[in-house]
Amino acid sequence: MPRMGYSFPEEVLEHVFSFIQSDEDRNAISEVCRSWHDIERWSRRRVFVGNCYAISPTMVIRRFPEVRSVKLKGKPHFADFNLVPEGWGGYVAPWISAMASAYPWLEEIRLKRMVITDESLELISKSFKNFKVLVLSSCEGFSTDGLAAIAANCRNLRELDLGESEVEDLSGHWLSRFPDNYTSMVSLNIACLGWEVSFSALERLVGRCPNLRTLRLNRAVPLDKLANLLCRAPQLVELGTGAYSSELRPDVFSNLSGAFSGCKELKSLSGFWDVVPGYLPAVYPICSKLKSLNLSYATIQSPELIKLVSQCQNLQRLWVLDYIEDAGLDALAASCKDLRELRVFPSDPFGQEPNVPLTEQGLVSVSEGCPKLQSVLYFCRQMSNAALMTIARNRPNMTRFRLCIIEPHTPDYLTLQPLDVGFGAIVEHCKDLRRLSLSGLLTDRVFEYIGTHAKKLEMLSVAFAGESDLGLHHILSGCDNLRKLEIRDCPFGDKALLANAAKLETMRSLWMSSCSVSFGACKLLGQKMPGLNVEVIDERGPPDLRPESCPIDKLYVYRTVSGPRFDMPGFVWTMAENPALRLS
Amino acid sequence: MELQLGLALPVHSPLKLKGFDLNDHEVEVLNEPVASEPWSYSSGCLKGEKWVKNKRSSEEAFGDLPQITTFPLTLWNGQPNEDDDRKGEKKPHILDKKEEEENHVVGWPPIKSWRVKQLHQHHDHDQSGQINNADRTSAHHQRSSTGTGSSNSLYVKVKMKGVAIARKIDLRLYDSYQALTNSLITMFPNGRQNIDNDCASYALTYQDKDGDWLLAGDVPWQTFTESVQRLEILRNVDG
Repeated sequence: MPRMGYSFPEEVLEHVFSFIQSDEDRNAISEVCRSWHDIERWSRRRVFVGNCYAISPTMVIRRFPEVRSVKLKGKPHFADFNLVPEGWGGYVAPWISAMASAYPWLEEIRLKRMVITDESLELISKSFKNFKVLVLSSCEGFSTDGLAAIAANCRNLRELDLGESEVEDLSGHWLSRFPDNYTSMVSLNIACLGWEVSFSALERLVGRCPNLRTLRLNRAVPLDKLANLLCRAPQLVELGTGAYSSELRPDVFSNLSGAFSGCKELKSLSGFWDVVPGYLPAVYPICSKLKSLNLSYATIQSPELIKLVSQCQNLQRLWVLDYIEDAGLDALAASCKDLRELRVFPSDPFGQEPNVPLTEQGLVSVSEGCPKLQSVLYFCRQMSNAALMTIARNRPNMTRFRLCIIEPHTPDYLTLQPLDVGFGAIVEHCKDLRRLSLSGLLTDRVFEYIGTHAKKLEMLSVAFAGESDLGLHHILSGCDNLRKLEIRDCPFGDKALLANAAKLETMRSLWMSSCSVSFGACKLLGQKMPGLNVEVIDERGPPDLRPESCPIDKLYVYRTVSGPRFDMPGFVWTMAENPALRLS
Repeated sequence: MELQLGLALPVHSPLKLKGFDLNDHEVEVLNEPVASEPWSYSSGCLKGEKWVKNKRSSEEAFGDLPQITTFPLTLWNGQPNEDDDRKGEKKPHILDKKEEEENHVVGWPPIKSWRVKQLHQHHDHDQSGQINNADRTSAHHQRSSTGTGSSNSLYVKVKMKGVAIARKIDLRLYDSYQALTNSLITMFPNGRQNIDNDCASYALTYQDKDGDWLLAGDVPWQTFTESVQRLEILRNVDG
């Protein structure tokens, strides 16, 4: 009987594998047999490490020697909300130095919530001759000096996206470091920079890069300069404006309007800081082509928003402040039948009273009017079970549902009951739900619903909810596809955690802060589960100076094949099998 | 020595306490009830009433805690290092100042820090501002002069004697000298290596519009912000 291994040349297999992009499929391929495993690992070009501490750079390099594109994530999601103390970790330096020697042909680095220094940026700029893509999403630790190195040395750079990173602004002249003969920019996002960049350098750069598709400016680029930029890049597909304000002048307006009209390919708009409503009509000519509109920094009122949004019949994504009001969302529901994603952010998140008439009704309208709506992030101040049930029934195709009722423990405002049945309806009807964030008054009941129905759920965020360990137990024992669980200020403790310890190895990570998990339980978990790093984060000092039954402040548990990390600050302790390692 | 909680405890100083041993340092024992709650990241000052909300849920969560909590004094990063300064004006302490005033829980509602920062810039200025596109140095010291309203920020350079790297701060984010000095103290931990110093041994000086160096605090805050060009922190030579 002929053996497959002999009849199929490696080159053919490699060629076939090159069509397989998804990690899951490639992982499956690599398990077929030894030779497939080897061929696959030599041909894998993209690696995604969802938790930079789950594996060491050496191990990745050893397995996949010919990688061209790397994506890494560092801090836990709750770091976005200041729940992870500064200095916790997420340093990318070890990865960059390892890759600098191992992957000379590396083309793409994408980082999220990591700390990257100017030294690393410089190393990147000098180590990878064919470097093309740098995406730094919510990163920190670097300055415009690092960006200058990238600009100066990366001759083949196509994409520089600074996301919402914290960049130390030392000089706006880094942009001038792109050489005069550099023309390959395709995507530039500098929206996060607080200070002005050299405008003439920006203009010249935009003017000489014919393939520029995405340009996201920062707030410091004034409106009267925007027309100029647009005229140099009429091929733009995605634009983020700077400050959208200027004295109302007819010449500025007509230049701007003309420039926008000239951008026939424009599909995505963002920016719009400090909006002067009189200038909004300048974008009207292109509204009907827009697929994505980010007005989440635009402090304009509902009537203007309605005028704008009603012209965007092809809109698929809208991010907006709650200034849109229920009335605006009604208009959205009526005009934008192709809407897939809606995010409504609060204009006054820390105020005690509602400042705008935006309620659950707006979301209900959109769920009724927009049949393709599948992703929602909604901040509001009141909700009812009835509304949630209506939304659930309207939109069984929902895949991401994040609701934030601003005041913790807020009940159904009509019945004063917990919102358990409302969220229960969401998980029951929306069978493909992958991401869910809860809020409002919730008992253990809601977790029972979630454990029973949310079988495709991958990420769950819980705050100020539940009554007992049973709640946590329902989640961990019921949600088969859970990868990330983040919990804050819930009365969940040791029992559910220890009873479901094995589950944690099937997940990427678990975060629990201000809950009732004791130090003793953490130690036990660390001892029982060598495949997990159980990190206790506590700024009060070493937890073993307090009774074992004392609750710890923050817990971060994640699976890893590379053991406890060695870059922990003084307020993080890893519970390990070997007690001696605990003090490192 | 008295630990001035309001000024001394940093909000967001990176903790580098490898090899930390409580016994090596003097610790302050606090008897206030609020100290029995986990000292959460956001508090710059342990004001009782501010913690009511968080306190309630924490009590439910934790039950009884020991009444006395000891705080390590050196929550500072005691080493002067570039990395610390490279971080620039870190978002957290500015945000938390607003959070303190607004009396609510850390990290709630869950809005990205970067977005909150943008929001605060909106709230501070009703009129639309125009960022001055003039050169960097003058932008440091002046408001926008284009007449469409006040600028969104008022950056001034802050130097401290003995610290190599200066910082930039946005004076618009503060409303009083106290708020400013609180923030400066967290920004310049290097100068606090000697823990026996208390706050009185530092003086905040500024250079005004006329180029003269004056002691901060004599004129009303508003007048100060209209005139200040740059700041310098001096250490008083004390016995």
